[in-house]
Amino acid sequence: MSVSRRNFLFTTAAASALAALGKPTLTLAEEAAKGGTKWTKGVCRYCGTGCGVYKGTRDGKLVMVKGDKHNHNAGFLCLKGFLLPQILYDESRLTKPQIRNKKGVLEDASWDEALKLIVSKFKGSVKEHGADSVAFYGSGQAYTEETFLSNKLFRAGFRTNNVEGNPRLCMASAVGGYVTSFGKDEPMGNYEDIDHADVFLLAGSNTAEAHPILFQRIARRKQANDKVKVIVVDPRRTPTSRLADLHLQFKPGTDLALFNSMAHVLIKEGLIDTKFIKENLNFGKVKKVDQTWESYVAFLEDYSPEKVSKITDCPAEQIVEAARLFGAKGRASMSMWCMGLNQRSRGVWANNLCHNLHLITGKIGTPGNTPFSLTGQPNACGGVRDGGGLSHLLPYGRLAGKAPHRAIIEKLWDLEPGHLPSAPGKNAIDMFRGLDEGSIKCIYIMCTNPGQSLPNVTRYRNGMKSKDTFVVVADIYPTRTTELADVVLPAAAWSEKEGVFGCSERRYQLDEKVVEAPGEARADFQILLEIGKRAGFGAMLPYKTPADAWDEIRKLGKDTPYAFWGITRERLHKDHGVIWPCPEEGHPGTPRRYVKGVDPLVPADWPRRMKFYGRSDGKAIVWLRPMAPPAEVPDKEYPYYLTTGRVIEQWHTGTMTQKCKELKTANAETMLELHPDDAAALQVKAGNGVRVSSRRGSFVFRANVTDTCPAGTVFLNMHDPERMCNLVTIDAYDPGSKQPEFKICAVKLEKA
Amino acid sequence: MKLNRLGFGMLLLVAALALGTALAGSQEPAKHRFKMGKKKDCIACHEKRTPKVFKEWFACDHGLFNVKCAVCHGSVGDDFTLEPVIARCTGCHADQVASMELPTMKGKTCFTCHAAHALSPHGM
Amino acid sequence: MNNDSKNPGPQQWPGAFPEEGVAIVAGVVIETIPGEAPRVGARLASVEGLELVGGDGDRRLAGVWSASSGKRLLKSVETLLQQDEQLLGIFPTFIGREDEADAGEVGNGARELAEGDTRQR
Repeated sequence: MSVSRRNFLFTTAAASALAALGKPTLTLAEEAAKGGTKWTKGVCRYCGTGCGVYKGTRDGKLVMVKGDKHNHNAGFLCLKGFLLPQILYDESRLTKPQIRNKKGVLEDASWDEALKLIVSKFKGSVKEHGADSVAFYGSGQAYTEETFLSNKLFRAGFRTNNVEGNPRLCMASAVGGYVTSFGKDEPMGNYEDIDHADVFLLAGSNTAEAHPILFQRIARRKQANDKVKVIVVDPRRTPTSRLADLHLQFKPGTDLALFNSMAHVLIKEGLIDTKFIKENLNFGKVKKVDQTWESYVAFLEDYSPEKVSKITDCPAEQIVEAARLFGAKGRASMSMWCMGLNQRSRGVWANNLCHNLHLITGKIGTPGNTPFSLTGQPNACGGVRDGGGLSHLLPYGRLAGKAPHRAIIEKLWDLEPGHLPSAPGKNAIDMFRGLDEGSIKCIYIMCTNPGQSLPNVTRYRNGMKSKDTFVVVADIYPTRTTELADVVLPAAAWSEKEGVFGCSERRYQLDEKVVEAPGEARADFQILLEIGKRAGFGAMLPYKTPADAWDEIRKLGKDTPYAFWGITRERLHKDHGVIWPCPEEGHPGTPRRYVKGVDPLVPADWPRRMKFYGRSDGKAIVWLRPMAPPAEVPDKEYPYYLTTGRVIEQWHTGTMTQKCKELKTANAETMLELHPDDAAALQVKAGNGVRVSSRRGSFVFRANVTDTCPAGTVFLNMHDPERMCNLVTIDAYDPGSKQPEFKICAVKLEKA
Repeated sequence: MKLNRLGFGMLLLVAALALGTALAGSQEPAKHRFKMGKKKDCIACHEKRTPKVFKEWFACDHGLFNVKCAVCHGSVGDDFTLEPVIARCTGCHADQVASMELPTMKGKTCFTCHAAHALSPHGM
Repeated sequence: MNNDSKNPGPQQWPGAFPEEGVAIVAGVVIETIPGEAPRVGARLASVEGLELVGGDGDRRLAGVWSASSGKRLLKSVETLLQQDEQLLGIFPTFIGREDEADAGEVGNGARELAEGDTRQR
């Protein structure tokens, strides 16, 4: 008897028995599917994949979401996406402004009272303590128009560069990597490269849970072609590893050595593209581009697989195998990485070393050959990275610290020369340290939850809670940050307002408004506009709606490598997103940047196949980056590595996913993943409490005894508002990108 | 006592025919058998309690892509359904769900052809 | 044999099972004392050949019972009914034989699907 017949009998028998139990009831979503529902195009609210959705409304309510089959996701959504309507309708929605009273309790107030208080506090602080005593902390989840408005309000209005956003916590090292290696930020490839790649290098990315639809596309590619190979580079075994032909499980923080060792093997085995190297590459060390191919080869001598296997605890044969797979001639290789490389005290270096592999093999700029950074938020790329919502940036690749760049923006914004502040702004960690230490008095936090998401969060919670600081939080639900705020503003949510999202592949797409916000909640764009007007900056903010601001935003990107002048509002309404550069109306968008004949910004007479036009000579840079340990490694007192990450059912700080009834109970408790050997040594059984302590704080988590991490390494996810991993994580950051090292710190464990 | 109860059980077996659709016609919504107080992953229990179901799901595309229990069966609360309502497939398979309105599809559900949990695609 | 897998309704165990030596797979609904289904379900988890696939949380459980023969299956049902005081009845909703002899019970093109489903990852 065949296995399939047994399976079939079992399934049929089970279905018949289940059917005999009773008839299930219909949910709201199921009602919607019965017809009479209006469908409007939009974008998923969650990760940076930016899946196209259609939003189904009926009687003024969002009842269902389905995948957009004409967008890159081909109609598919992950389990969170399908449940999106529920994020709007939990009864705990904030619907009235609140002001903390003298007793320390948040009390309902009118918009007028709240806005008056905000404007008087911010203006008062600027007057008394200078412009840099106020700050804005935004989000990769805000629309491009909202980030644009906050940027203009704070830099041109209040005249401070203290404009920052949570992408500092997730993407800054990727920005640093792209800018240092290629001269300009943002990936050069696109999702379609997945369909052409023969080898995938997934490094520090749990794609299966963090970017499920991209993982699905990778898996489909592998299912369709059994010659496709997947290399997973991750200290932890995750659902992503299921797809792996080769899983390099290494000691946390040693991947710099691992990448250099792969480069070592590629060179030793001749798996390099000598012509591409000669024509397109420069070599650099520290900050100077003063090295040569020969000095690079000599530098790599130190990284033989045998030697590196001792540093990484990863077998030498595996390193060799990974390099051979990646470098195989005539096969296309695509690397994808995420927080595992970015959230590190040497995140920029890790990014550079991944780029190096593509550069020395020439596996770049052709279909399937590309280094591709994955983004965690729907508009970290489009809004904050591109739009210049980080303290050191100005819109579209300009730097706040450079006078000529400020002059360009001053001209575009019709400001007096010298109006924009030259003093550098504070990065996320320094901004909240400033709040703790007293240099920052007022902060406006929009669409993000630093009271849970900052590393070593206790310190920064204290700063926000302090009576000496004035904290405004605009959000849709009460969070671990609103509980610290002096003023809480009820914001309109996704689908209750419109705006542009830009995802990992440079695709800009419009997310349409389909329902009204509840109670007195207002769109962030309108709130910022009102604050601007009341603070006396009305003349420089002549907009009524996000659509009014879009042409100005397009103009800011004109004549820059971002060049999206062709992405008009009308086109956004009509199309399923457009990938920039798209310099003129009617231009179809650019699947691969820097490539002659594909990218409109590369001159037709350019002599080589690629031009890295972010650099004056059009050449990319291979950086000589040595192995460097994480900021904190285990010692006698704190003998375990703690690493952090995600689960598919939850997203970020859980403020939205935990409002969905299907997800409320699904993997919602942060448990400590503990290796059976470590559990035995601690005499801990599954479900027991374990106190996890670092030099910064401690908390009791229940144990999940599993061998997903090697012995000596434990794991916590980042989502649970009641059990915050950030009570113990470290706030050391990368000196270049200023991105904190959420991924690695040292802890001790005790049975609780 | 034991004999009596056995007798009762046998009686029910016989009575089942007479009962007709009493069991199947029940309109009560199905409920998840256990309360999920501990906010766990469904798989934590079902891998052990319903290993066959788990294995079939795990081996198919839904398992590989992490389309987990809640997508089809709802939460463990009021909306929990043992047999998924096909509208729940709409998120990813909107066209296919719409096609179920066709006359040729009368009386069928997705699961008439796609075995539950294994959900083998056509032609495989 | 019941062909309507959507709404099979309760049934009686058939008088004659397939000949000895033919393995059987049966869909069953298990009736318990009202409110006791979860506890009975927990006990049944260890019964060989029986896999529970669902329940109404109150007095019914759905399961699939596999046995090497019809006789053995009936024997197990009887034994179980004797052993568990809170278990009131076990009703078949579907009975299939594993030797593929009885094609009639498979409707709606599902048989072809079952035959072709050899994909293993």
